[in-house]
Amino acid sequence: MISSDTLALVTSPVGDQAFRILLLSIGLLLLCVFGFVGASVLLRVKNNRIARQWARLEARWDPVMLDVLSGAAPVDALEALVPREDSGRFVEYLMRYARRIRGAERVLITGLAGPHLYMVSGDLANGNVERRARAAQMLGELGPIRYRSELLGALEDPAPVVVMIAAKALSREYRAGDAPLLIESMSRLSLLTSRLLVAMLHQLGPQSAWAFRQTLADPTQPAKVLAGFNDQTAADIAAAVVDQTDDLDLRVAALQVIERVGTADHLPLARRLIKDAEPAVRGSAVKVLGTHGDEGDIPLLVDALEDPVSWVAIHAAEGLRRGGRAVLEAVAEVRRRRSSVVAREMLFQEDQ
Amino acid sequence: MVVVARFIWLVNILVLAYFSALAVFYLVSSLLAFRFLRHYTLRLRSLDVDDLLTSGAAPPVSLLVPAFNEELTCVASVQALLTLNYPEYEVVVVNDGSTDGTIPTLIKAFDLVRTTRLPSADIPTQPVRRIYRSQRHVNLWVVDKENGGKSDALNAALNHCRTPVFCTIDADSILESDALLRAIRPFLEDERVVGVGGIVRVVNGSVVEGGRVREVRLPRPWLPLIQVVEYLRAFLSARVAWSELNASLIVSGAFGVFRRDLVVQSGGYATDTVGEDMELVVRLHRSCRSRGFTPRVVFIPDPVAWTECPETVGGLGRQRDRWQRGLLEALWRHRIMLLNPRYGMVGLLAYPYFLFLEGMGPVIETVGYVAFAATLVAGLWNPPFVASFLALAIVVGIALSAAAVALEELTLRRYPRWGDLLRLFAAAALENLGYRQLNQLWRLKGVVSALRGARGWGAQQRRGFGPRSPVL
Repeated sequence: MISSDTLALVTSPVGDQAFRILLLSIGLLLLCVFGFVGASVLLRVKNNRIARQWARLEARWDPVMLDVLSGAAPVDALEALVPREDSGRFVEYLMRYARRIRGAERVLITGLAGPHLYMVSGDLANGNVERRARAAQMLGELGPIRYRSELLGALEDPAPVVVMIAAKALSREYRAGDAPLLIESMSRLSLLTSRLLVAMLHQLGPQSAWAFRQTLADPTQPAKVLAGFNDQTAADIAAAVVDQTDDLDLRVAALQVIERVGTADHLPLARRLIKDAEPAVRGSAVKVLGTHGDEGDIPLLVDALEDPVSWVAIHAAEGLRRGGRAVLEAVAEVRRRRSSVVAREMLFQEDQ
Repeated sequence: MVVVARFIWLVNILVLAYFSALAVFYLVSSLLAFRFLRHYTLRLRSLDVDDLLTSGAAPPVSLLVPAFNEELTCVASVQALLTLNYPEYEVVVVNDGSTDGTIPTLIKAFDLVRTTRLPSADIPTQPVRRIYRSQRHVNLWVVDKENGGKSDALNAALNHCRTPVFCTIDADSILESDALLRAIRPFLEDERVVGVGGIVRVVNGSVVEGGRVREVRLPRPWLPLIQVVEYLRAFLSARVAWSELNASLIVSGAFGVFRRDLVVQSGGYATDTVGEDMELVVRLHRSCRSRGFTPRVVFIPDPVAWTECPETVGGLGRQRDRWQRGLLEALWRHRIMLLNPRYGMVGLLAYPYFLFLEGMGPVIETVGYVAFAATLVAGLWNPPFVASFLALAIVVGIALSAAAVALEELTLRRYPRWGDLLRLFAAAALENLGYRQLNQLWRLKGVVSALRGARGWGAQQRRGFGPRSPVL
């Protein structure tokens, strides 16, 4: 056993202080534990109460809503069941339908929402990003025409998520005059992937061709977005871009544009690029030939089946598949060749 | 004698400092997680995942499913994967040289026929024997290969993956139907995202039918119940916080989504480690940053994969041993990142945390227990001090687990009954009385195994996902 002198040396006064800190820490942590338990219980009580309220409202609204949608009851019948204090919940309720229905029924839904949306539009100025995003979402779904100016204003929002939601809503209800604003807002969504931007551009439709061509001519814009636009003129611009730039992404994107909207006029370019040093360019050129090529391009595609890069071979096989079974069957016959593997794969897919 | 006493005192202080650092980190991470989850749940309401289905923006995805002796579970798992709510995806199951009836079972269940498929990459793997494709589900492929381990199987699947994004999932896990759609969203919202992890939840005790979780219930036995709390703490607190700091070092192998091109460029999964999931993420951070690109590895809590956790002490021990080995192997391999400012928060914060607090934690805690015992024997501390010290350790553990349960209540609320909430809090308390110490012992074993260079996964037992009702 250690002597009392030694004990005193190592424990006091540090020991006393440590003991006090320990007790204090335990007390604080116990408070935290009780806080977490209490918060969970309160959350559970609150959520259960909300769930009960929703159940009550749904029981009241659901039957009438179905009658209104089927034309068996007038819109007023549902309106009468929505007291002022339930306006917010009613808009939430309508959102469930708005996302799933189209046509005349959707017009009914937006009509029902109209008198209650004034509460939502105020949230576009809320300090909370998520509240603004939610408001943009609701106005975009339920009142895109009536609240168009508010949504256009939301394109200037400092938060990209609000801009994205507003832009998506406006592109769904596209008006030709909105194109410059929408495309300009896309430059603020630089982190968004090209796929999402392309999807939005498609919603804008062919009327926005001129604005998009400007994007096409500007290589600083996300290159792959170029591939998303199905405009014949875009293919000619893309063909020029392929020869004018060394940027690999841009060259590939431009070839993707040609694959989508190109014509036989663009085949000489693709035939030349099928021997390019860059596999990505070769693969894209092969896709152009597979989509727009003629019988004269079959030997080129068969050669591409032996390309050392699998992607090029796969694209070539897909191109040959579009031209019928005969060539693939002939290639598949010659076993132990790389091209035979991919040819048989395509034939199998064809059989299915 | 004074020197010995001083030494014991010093060790105790160091251990106390370790506990304090761990507690502070977890409490701060819980606060960060709370902030993120509160915003995220609101944001989920404004960004409807169904939009992705109709917008055409969702990229095609391949689900890579390594399978070794999964005869019991593979059919239900694959059936569930084939009914996911996603516009365009393929399922690539890789049979890693199973010695049971995995392949015949799959052939029979899905009408598989032999075919060919040109590999899109050439990551070295054990030889592929055959490739099958389902005649009933055109998006189902099965690669049958020689045994080479999970990483080797994943690499074989990567070689046959043709989509820009792939998702890994264990053959014994169940993805919720919209999990993929939710997990893909970060890729669309931010070009810098290279990997996304979803939450992995414990399926034990729940009602599973046709490869779907029909009713969520907590497991009756305490061992899996405590693991439910552990998983909540790990995912809803720690991983959320690391994701917020853009310093995630782990995306669970049971459910992770990655960009194919970057993974193939970096050589695929490492086959000489049991922690291939963590190793890949650390390597992606390293390789991307060495090319001047700061990647984002994101964790989000709404895509859910359900997994079966071990129900026996032996099985759990082997799992934790393996996890600890994997952690240390990944960290050792990329030790150049330690405190290296070139790797930002990953090098300066995440790596030191994982090395000193998670990797070496079991060693420090064990030294702490020994020093504590020595202190008692030597009579250096009086009984109230000893009791307080123990109480602190226990209360810290309870607070962290209770915070995780509260975060669950704040976000997804998968356990709707009042009884569930009570049992979760009870598990959060009981976890610290024996289970935690046992866990440290297994992890210490993992440290020793890692130092000895042990390999292999150890035997695993599966119950299967057939119709299963909870024990009432």
